[in-house]
Amino acid sequence: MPKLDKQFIKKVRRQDRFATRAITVGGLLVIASVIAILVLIVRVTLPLFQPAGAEISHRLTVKSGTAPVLAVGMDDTQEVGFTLDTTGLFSFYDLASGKPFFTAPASTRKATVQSVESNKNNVFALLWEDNSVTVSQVDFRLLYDDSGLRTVQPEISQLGDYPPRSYPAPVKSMMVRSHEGRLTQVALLADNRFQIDHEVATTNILGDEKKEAFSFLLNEELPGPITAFTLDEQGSALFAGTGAGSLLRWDLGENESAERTDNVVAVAGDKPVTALAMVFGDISVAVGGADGSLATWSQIWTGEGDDRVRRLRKTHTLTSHQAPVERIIPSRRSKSLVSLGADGKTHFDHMTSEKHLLNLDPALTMAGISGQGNGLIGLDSKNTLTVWNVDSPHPEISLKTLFGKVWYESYDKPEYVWQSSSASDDFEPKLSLVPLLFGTIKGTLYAMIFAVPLAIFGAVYTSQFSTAGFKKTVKPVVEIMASIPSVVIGFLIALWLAPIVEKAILAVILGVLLLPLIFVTIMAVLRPFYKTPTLQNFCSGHEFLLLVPVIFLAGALAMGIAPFVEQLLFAGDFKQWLYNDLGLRYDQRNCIIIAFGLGIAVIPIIFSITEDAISNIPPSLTAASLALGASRWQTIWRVVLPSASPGIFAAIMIGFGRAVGETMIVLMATGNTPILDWSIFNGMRTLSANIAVEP
Amino acid sequence: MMMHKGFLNNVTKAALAGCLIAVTATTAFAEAVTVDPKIPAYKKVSGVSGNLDSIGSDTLNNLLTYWAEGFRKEYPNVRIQIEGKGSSTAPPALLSGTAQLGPMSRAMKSEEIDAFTKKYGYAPTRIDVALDSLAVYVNKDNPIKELSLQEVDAIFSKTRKGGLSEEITTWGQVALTGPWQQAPMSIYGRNSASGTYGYFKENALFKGDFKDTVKEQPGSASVVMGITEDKNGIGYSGIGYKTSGVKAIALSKKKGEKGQEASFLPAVTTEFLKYILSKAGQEIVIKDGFLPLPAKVVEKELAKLK
Amino acid sequence: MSTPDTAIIRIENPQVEVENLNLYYGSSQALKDLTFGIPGQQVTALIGPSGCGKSTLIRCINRMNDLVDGLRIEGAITINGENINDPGLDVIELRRKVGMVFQKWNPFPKSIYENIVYGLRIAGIQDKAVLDEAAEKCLKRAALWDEVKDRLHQSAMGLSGGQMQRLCIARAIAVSPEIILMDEPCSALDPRSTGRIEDLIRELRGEYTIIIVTHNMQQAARISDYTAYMYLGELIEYGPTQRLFTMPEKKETEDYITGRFG
Repeated sequence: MPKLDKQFIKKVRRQDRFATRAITVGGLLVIASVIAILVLIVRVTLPLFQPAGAEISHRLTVKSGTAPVLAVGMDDTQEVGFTLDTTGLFSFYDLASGKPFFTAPASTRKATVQSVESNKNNVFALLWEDNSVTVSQVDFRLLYDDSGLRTVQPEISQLGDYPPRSYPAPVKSMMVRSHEGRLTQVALLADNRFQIDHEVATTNILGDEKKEAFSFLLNEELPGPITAFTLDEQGSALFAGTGAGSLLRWDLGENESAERTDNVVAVAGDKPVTALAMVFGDISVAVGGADGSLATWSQIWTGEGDDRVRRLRKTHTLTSHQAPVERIIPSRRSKSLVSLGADGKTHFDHMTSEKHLLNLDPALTMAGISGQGNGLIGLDSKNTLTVWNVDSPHPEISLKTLFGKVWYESYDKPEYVWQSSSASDDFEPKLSLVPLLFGTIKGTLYAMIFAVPLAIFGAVYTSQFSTAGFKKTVKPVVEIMASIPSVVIGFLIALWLAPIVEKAILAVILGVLLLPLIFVTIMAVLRPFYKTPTLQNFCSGHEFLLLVPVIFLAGALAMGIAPFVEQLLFAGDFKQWLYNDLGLRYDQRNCIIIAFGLGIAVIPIIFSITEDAISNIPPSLTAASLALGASRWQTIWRVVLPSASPGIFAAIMIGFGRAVGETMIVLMATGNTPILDWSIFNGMRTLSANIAVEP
Repeated sequence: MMMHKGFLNNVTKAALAGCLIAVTATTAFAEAVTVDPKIPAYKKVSGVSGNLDSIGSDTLNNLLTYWAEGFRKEYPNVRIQIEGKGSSTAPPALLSGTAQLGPMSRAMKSEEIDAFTKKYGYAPTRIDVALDSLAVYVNKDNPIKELSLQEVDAIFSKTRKGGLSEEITTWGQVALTGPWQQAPMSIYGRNSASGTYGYFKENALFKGDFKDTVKEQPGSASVVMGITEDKNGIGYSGIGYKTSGVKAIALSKKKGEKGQEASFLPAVTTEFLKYILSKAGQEIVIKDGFLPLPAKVVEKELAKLK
Repeated sequence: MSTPDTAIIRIENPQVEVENLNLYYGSSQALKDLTFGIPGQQVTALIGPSGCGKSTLIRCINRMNDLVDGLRIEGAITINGENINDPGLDVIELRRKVGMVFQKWNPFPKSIYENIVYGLRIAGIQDKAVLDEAAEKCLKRAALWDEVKDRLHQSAMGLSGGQMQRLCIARAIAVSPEIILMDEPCSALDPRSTGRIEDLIRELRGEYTIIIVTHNMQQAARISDYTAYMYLGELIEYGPTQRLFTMPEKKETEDYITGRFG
């Protein structure tokens, strides 16, 4: 034996060590990357479910000698806070230093404010003692000096100044709205009546402006004294709460009169309604009661047919206070609400998710939310102004809004809805994942029902029955199919196949039914010839050719008889019949199309992996079975398929994964309709397509 | 009647806001649309070169491509890249700095403006560039002539804030007879990333919600193609996408807002916008099927660029 | 090369009769004009160097060659007077009559019990009592019962090679064949296991007709009644084992069995 070269052995060992280290490092890197990806996913999703937090960012004392404060507010940068007192004076404080630096009166002529109302961020309607109203807006201008330093400069501007009107009784409080040329003033009088004044400006063809005034009293019998009221942005709906817990609503759409549409009990046990406020978006009204309850109500369609009307219903119940709710301040950015309880607790709740975001302790008498909804300013009884930096990035997300039924504004009942965006700010995002999960499962399921049998039986046939030559051609061809870009498949099936299938849907269904029938018939006819050498020779490895005439025959027959069947059974229109008799809407972009499209994408994968798995079964096993007198079919069913089952399972799973993740086909060939309906005749919206189609 | 929609384009480091007014209630297609003669011709300046990236509205995609072509004839040294995936893709692109122009077919939401302002310290500048009519389309074989806005709402919306108590699901409900009477409607619309989606939602659905059965298509052209192939189809899209396979049922609605203050833009961007607002730029607007801006508006928009 | 009649003995009343059998793979001929008879209830060994066609020949007897592409057979093989290449013949029935044990053990990846009753199940026998009885009987017959009776329902893949091969024999017996073909059943086994298989073959003799292909001449000498020596597709010599090994008529045979060739 030749002596082994020591150098050579060393080299081999060195290569071994190097390979070991490289493989170890590589493996560890892979594991580390996977863990890093998981950590990243968790880090991205976790904040969605993190509870809200609030930090006190500033605290200062209102300068002594100030008249009682009626309202507080601050700018968006949370650098300047202000108070509005009973003399109509705005006092601005630099929050960082706590120093007052600027004051400005709302009006130079008057000095005693009776009440203040605010329905927009930093816009205040002041009711003076003489029943006149001034609407003032606080603006903050950002100024940059040469060094780029930013200063916030407050400015008061007057949006409106309305002279006193005549009232039959003293005015307790008033609300003013101006919308598209109509001014609406609603005054609550001391005798528990509302006086409503409209001033409408119209322009005629010649461009002359004409003003018309309307004034009337609501002389209705009311269920108790009015304890709170509010008005929507357009001045077209008036809500009032009474001492007996009733919630009333009037429609102020007409200029001449008001129609009372609702009278419901909003607070149980004859306890009074203590606070009312419109939730951002002007659809829901938040109702606070003396029992501490906090709920939102909105108008929804009820009744049947011509009697369908919109009536107030309680849609969300928020976390209750331990004491009467004194004040509700809606956010001007989201559906969040700040509510102050008589016991000094401040709650921060989100309407849609019903999430109780924050529970703050100091006994606030007054509060305001910053324009971006991320700051809260409050005044307590000791005249201390406190500013909280609120961190609640996703108040609308909770497990319930993602997976449960939620009663959205304007909806008839709680539902699973996906409708995530809109061009307007006051939109309530509807983020139920249920329709998307459902759509994903639906699309995948129908696709798999179509693809799995075809692919697996195709693979079984190719590997066990067909000739080697046939296999050599078919396998690569099918595998090339997998490389067709899904955009191409999506485009073809959406714009070419879908209209064809729509026109010939009955023929398609009949064809599917006729195929096995005709096949069985032909087999029965051929039965006496099974043993003849011609058929035997022809069949060994070429049985599939027998199917070609069967498919053609079934197709032709289905097309031929479809019009007659349609005439005979479905009154001439199958789709119409589906709609009328079964209530199924036939959509051109439906699951049949998707099953085809995803099938084309998935079949090659399942086919190829299954074929490999079956071909990897040792021939000795098949031989053993055949030698025991098993037929080929018995061998496949009892030996080949069970032995290949792990591979087939893997094939189905990989195909399943492709179908679940497939985006372009679904995106193009369905309508991306987030519906909850198993019907094969309509579409779906899948998670993956949703990601692609949303902003 | 038709619904008119303001089209706008927002701009660079200091880009965007708001929507333009159009109150025309006549059928504008009948007459030949011409550019307002008062719009000045574009004057070439020297020393303009560089790159310009635009990401945003799919509706404005063609128009921007035409503009870019015309602009590059003037300045061959300028490279312009245009990507149109939906208006909602514009603000993030401006924010991340991947684009200097963010064409949008709707106004920016305050959230989007906030994010921009927070990052750059100043608000985006909005420049209105063309008018679009948003039309409701049906298949060309459909005999329907008119739809009221309330009917459109009841067809497309499940919340029906327009006021109709029953939702409309079949053509018989909008007074079609014969075989159409029982035929169910097949509804098409844009995907939610598009400004058209948001605009339609705000104005035709009265801020309500779309039905789940509205088939969301990833482009304006797909909506029209879908309706072409679907006898029972109905959908909304820009008037520029009208083909012979569909019929536009126009509706009227007015809507308006004002633009905002301007600020500093790099030369290439400013010149491109000036080009858009010139006679040549507005002629392209007509070529692509939109409506040109009146001279007054052009003047106002040009003032923002000074 | 012509073969004198004396080198290939004639068997009276053979159970398997091969007549002028020619077999071609495409254009190459693998078996050349074989004519001989195999007696029933005896052990017949086929010996010869690799590639001489022994395995091909026994695979013809239960038509396992059917699945091979491009294979052509001329001549006839008759079992109990019936030509098995008749197109009207049911292959499945033939294979139930002619069992086979392969060179490499090939139990199914199922339990021991399921392996044994597989042949019965595919024949449509469902009755558990019948299956149980058959399993026990066959395992006992294959001298495996004592080793596996406690783990009948465990996977057959856990057995040793020798046990697996005996299981395959038991599985073949279960369908009550008349003939058992064995294609080098011991070639992958250690001597101890080989010994046990040989014992088993001796036991089965008299009940079944056993045709065994083997490379091991001692084995052929130990267990067979008749031996056929094949070379390059031709049958060189065929006769009672004792005579063939002690007084071979042909020079080639002698060379092969004495190890001077092969």
